[in-house]
Amino acid sequence: MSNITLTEDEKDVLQELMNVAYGNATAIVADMLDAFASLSIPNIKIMQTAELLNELHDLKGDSYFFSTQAFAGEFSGESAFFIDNESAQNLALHLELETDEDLQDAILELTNVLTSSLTTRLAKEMNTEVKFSLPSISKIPLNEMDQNDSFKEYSQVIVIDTQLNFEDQKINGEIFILTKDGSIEWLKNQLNNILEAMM
Amino acid sequence: MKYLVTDDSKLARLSIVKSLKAHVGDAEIFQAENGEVAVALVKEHKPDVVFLDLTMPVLDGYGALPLIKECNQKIKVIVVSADIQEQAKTKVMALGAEMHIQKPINADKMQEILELI
Amino acid sequence: MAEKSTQQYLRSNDVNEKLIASIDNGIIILDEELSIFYYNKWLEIHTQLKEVDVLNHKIDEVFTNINGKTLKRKIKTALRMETPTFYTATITKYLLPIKINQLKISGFKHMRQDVSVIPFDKEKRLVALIITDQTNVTNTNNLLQSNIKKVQDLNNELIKERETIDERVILLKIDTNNLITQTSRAYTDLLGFDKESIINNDYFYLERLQMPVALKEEIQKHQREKKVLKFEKVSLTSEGKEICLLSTLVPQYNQSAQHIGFIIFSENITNAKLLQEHQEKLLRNSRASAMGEMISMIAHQWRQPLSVINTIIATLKIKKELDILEDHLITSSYNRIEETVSFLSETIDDFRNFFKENKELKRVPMHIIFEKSNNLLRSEMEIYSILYEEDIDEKLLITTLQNELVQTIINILKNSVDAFKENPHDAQKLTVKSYESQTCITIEIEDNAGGIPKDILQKVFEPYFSTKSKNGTGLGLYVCKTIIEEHLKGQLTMRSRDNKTKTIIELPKNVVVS
Repeated sequence: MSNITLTEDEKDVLQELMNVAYGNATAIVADMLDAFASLSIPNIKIMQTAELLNELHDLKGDSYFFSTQAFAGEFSGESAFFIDNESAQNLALHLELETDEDLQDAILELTNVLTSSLTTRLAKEMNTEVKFSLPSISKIPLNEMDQNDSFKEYSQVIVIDTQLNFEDQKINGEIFILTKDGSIEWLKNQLNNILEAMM
Repeated sequence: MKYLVTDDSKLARLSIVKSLKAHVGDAEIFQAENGEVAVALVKEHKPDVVFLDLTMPVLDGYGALPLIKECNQKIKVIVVSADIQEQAKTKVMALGAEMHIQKPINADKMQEILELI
Repeated sequence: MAEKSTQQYLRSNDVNEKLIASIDNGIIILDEELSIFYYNKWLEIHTQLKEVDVLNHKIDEVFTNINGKTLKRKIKTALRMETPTFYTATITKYLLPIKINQLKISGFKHMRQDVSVIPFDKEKRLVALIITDQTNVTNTNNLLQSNIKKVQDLNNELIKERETIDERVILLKIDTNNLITQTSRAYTDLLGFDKESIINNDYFYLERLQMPVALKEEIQKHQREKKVLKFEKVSLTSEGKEICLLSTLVPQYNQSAQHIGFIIFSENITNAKLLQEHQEKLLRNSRASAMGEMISMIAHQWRQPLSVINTIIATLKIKKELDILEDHLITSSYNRIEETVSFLSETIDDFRNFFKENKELKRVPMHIIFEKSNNLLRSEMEIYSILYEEDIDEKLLITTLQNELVQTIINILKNSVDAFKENPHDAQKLTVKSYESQTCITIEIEDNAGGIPKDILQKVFEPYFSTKSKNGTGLGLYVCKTIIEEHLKGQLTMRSRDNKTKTIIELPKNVVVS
């Protein structure tokens, strides 16, 4: 697979679709948590897996909860959600969770909600449908991230990176939507269709 | 009538401009890619209606809204955002927005909006 | 519409009974308030509750382990998103407490479940809970995890061990062409060479200046025969220091039993070697000083018989000159001279025997040991008026290295005699006793030559310690202790009380001498 790049226009379209989808997802999470999130502009990049791992290293904090959920369809890939220990504890506090299991369950739920609503909406904007598998979670120190097989599958990934930020509750998370190869091509194609329809 | 469309996304601006043109024909439509440019254009061209996105670089919608209203209280500001949280709506209404519309905007929605103002 | 008729078909009792009833999943339909609207056959069987008994009941009241708040949140979110929410077996373990009675799954009491909360009817606010049995998968996963953990632990241990080996074991690996393939850090650290400068070099070329031809041939012979060889060799460090290594050559095979080279493990015995050399030197010194002492003892012994001979010869000479020499006097004088000369030669023989290297165990009567020891000291004891008392059973036999034991006893007796010389008094007495018990033979030598102060007594067995004002090398008692304890595997102790000093030698009856 040769290196694919996104043009400025394609990036702009994807960013806007993502913005809409993410707005939707955040509203659901905000409902679920009964809290208000501030939205940020999603950051879109196509990068090599190695670069992505470097990026993940730059995330602050020593320990992160890391959950992933795969999605399948014309647009397929995996979404990953990172939430640092402190935020996770704040989430537990906010939801009045008592056990670690409840907390992990809540993080998975958060991942599921974010991913499902985000990806469903994104797919809808691109006139397709996606199906989700059960999310999975692991709590891993970042220095072991290189050994995480989830990322090895992807040689080149399109990374849509956005922040989840509940200021009052001090809950921060980072969402990555990772997709590769065929899906990147498909996505590029869809973006151009949307762009053409608009011109 | 003069219109100003503010959004950091070119696609978003295009879609608003496109649906707007379908209804108002060749009215004067200005475009701004962030809040700061929007405030400058408001001062320069004195538009009647401003479409304003919330999440933007340099100066976001929350920051730009009061500055626009400061220039001219009569300007009708329509917030067009992906942020559909109740709190976001309440916040922009309190800052003086005419209404809060969920993105994306199509021709039908635009008609409703224009009728309301 | 096709969609509608399909739905109708799907909702017909027929399919419901045929498919839903026999499906291997639990299905519950709930509303937002957790009231049960549907409860499938699978659940009836597994929970042993009939649908009619749970309908319209709240699920968290039927199953009190369920956290209603969490479930409500999941239902609300699923309905809001129009996509499913989940419980996962890995985290929540189970939603419904279903007991399992399978022997092979020993870890869990309850079935592990994945649960999908699927939006079922948005209008009526209904969701369907699809429960999947994940017990086997979870069990396998857990086993896998614990095995992975074990493997990781083992791996960590191995890594640690490898590091320790690398750090501690002086090790060199060579291939079948004698090229060095690996060195441990201990090896390079000891010899002060860079690993890079050694790797891929020929082992024999590297050692060419420090390896005797005979050793090289020996090693090569063992290499050909693929046999283990132990050898001692001096190596030079990068700074030119000599290091003595005791090495073991071990043939090395790969997993398919193919011979791939040799490992040479080494032990740095430089310090041990130095110690050994030092001790040998001490013993040599002590032998020399003992010889010196004994020559002086011989001189003592000879003084009297020589003067006897002198007197006889002088008498004979005078009588001859006066011409009064009678034949019987000549005969008796000859006899006396012969007797005396034989005594002199006996003394010399003892002396010579004493310095003969004799490492053979001999069974000898104990009193003979003392006779031999006393031969060289008797005249000195007479001169200095030391009363010698011996209490040894004539039948007491000992198996020992005779010369070594005699040398020790002479040393001890001589120490006493010297002590009397320094501290003479009227009732000088040396008492010797020997007796046997079940396991050992004890020798006690006691003098009343003034005793030894406690602080000095502690040091008497140290090398070069001496209280003698002249000619003392200080090796005496240290060498005695070495002989008794290391050569004869016995014990040598010394006690002192009042003006008496008692030296005790305990020797094992069954001697295995090194």
